[in-house]
Amino acid sequence: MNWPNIKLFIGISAWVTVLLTVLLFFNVGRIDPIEGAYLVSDGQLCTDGECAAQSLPYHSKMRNDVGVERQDLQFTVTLDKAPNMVQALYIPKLADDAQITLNGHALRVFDTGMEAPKRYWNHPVFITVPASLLLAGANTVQFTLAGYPQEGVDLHPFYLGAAAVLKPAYNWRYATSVYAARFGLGIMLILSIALGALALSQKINHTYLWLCLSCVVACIFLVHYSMDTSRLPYKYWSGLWPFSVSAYVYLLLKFSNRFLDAIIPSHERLYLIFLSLYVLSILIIPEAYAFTLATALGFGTAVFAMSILMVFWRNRSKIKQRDFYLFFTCLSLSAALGFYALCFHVLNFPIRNQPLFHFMPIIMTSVCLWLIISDLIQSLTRYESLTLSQQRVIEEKTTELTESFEKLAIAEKGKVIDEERKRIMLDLHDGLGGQLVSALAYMENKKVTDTTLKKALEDALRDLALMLDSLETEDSISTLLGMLRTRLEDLLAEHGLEFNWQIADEPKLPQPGPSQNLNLLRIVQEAITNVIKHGEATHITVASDATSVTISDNGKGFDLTKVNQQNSGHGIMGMQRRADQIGAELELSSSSNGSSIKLIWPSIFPVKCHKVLPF
Amino acid sequence: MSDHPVLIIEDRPDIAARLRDAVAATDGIVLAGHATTLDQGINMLFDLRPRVVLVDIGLPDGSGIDAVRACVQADWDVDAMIVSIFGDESRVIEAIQAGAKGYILKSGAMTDIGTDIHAVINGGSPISPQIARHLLAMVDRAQTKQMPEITLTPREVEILTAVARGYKRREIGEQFDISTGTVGNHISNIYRKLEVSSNTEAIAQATKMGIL
Repeated sequence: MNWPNIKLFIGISAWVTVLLTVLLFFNVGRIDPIEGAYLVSDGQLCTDGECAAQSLPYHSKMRNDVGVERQDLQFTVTLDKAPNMVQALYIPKLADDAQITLNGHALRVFDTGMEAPKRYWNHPVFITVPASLLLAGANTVQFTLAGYPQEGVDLHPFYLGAAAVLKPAYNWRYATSVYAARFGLGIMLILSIALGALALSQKINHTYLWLCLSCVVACIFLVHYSMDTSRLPYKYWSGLWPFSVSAYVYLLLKFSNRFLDAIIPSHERLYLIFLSLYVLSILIIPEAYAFTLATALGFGTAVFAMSILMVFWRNRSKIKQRDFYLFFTCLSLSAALGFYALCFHVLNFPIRNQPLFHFMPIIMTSVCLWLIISDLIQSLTRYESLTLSQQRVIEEKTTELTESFEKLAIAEKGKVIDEERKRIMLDLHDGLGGQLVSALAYMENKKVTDTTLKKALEDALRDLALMLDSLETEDSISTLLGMLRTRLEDLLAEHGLEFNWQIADEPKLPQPGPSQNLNLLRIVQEAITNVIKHGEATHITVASDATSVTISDNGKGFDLTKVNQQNSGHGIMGMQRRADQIGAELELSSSSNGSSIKLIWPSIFPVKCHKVLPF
Repeated sequence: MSDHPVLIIEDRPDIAARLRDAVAATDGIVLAGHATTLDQGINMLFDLRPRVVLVDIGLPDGSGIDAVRACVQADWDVDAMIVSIFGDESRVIEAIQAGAKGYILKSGAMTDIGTDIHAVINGGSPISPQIARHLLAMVDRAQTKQMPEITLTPREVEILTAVARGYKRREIGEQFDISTGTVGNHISNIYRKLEVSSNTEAIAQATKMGIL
């Protein structure tokens, strides 16, 4: 051991000593005088008819022998007057068996004879005494203690007094010793089963298996603290129950190592070897030395418990701080309880009279369960937040997926529509368009001079071109106007007209699309052909910006009152209807210097600086 | 200088007759022959070795674009022009990429047909607002999708934009203070760039994918 380890050992020893001192200081189960009762603490120890003064607590010499250790003690209680109420003899601690007489009357006899005295390790005794048995003056109480030579027999101060006065003290003592041990035993049994089931459900992780086994072995030494074990062979029981304490410590180490994820396997192995050696020894050792060997095991376990504490302290950074302090405190308290119990074993005189070791498994198992529960709570919290975030992700993804599916569906639909549109356009182009062109070419070739027919065919061709253009180019009205210009240029030239082209900004309709474009183009074409027919102009100006298209001429103008009487399909009424469909206003103006038709619509962008091209 | 021979590949008799009349009515060009199918047209192309081929896209036995490609591969100087009804932009673009030098309108005035043929012979390239719009869109797509570059100069983009808005070459020249001929040269350059870029695999792919 190097110096830091020695320092640590000293530090931990000091800490455990402090805890042990606190335990001793509280002197749990201290036998204090009770008002209204006699506390008997002085008597005589009689050996072969010879009696000598003996004060209580008394402890016979421990010797390595087999058979039964027997001691006789007698006490004299002097009463002022004979009691008139029911009396009682209350012995707070009786480790082994005893036969008791009062003034020659047997109050308690050996049930099983002298061969196998009962082993009440941790029992108080309460015997009701009829008032008539007690006399004014001297009363004699005789004890025959029976036990086992290796442990010796002992007797602590006891009470004689009114049953009603002593009963509460007895009840409390019974509850904190026998009942507490039995309660612990019950808890350990239940936990053994529950943790066993949990361990079985976990194929890979053995954490719960170790805790389950620790509960099982705890049951063994809790039996020793809560029941008479005299029916079991003395040697083996004396060897087994201290062994169960050692095994308990070993299994707790295994559990905590795995649970706290701070594995120190070398210590485990070392301790396992130590325990195996012990088992081997107890099997071959003579019965007279079994208890001594068990005591040695107790020391070994104590040393091991100290080393566990050291290891835990050294690895405290690996363990969650809150868990560490809780676990370390409880582990060192359990070690202190172990040392406290060891005092009962080793010392030839009882320094304190109430064993407390049976509280140890409850403390340790509680803290282990707390670790499991706190881990579970954390896992649940993590799981919950994970679920929540997962749910959020799922929702987001679902929304994304839905959106992309919708987009895909729209795109698919758009594609189908687009293909269909292309097919129809091709049919119109090559079919209808081809027919019209052929018909015109035929008229030209055959010198057919029917101007009405020719004009009708040309109008039809222009209208078809308009329709195809608006389908072909749906995103640019300026291009559509350009195409219109290209087609009408010859017609204008025929009538001695010229375009004054002023397309500056790309017109943006409120609801763009082929139908709206076609409406707009028809209005513009109608306006231009009207000028050709009636305007007597030389120039047609077509101007546009983002929210308007204007067609004006330098002709003689027209009579606004007459325009509405024209055929609605070709006249202003038709333009008006189409303008309404676009969502545009149609402004007409006319003077002797020319006329103007302006289509104006609201901007789709509330505020926007349009790029102005140099035209 | 002898008249330039012109081959017409057109299945509709009346249109063919009209085109024949237009060629006949134009000085400097002469009709070399008239085919009514693609097969016949390609045979006549190599037999007659014309200077200009007027080809309809929708022929009974195939696409006129094949005739355009044949012209590109020919070992003499021959320019193909698409005969179109209204312009038929997407197919014209396809033809231009295949190597066509321009298009003529079936319904156009006789004089226009003759003028356009002469323009092509002189190295010009007729262009419509819709074709200009298509070209601009192609340049945009080429930039955003990292396709083989169709890099246009800022001036070329300005000219294309103006054409797309319906301005005539003369008007464009006035705007930019350049001659009408220079505008025509710019447009011819644009055509050449388009044709060069179309020779790469990627453009062919893009065409197949329906991007163009």
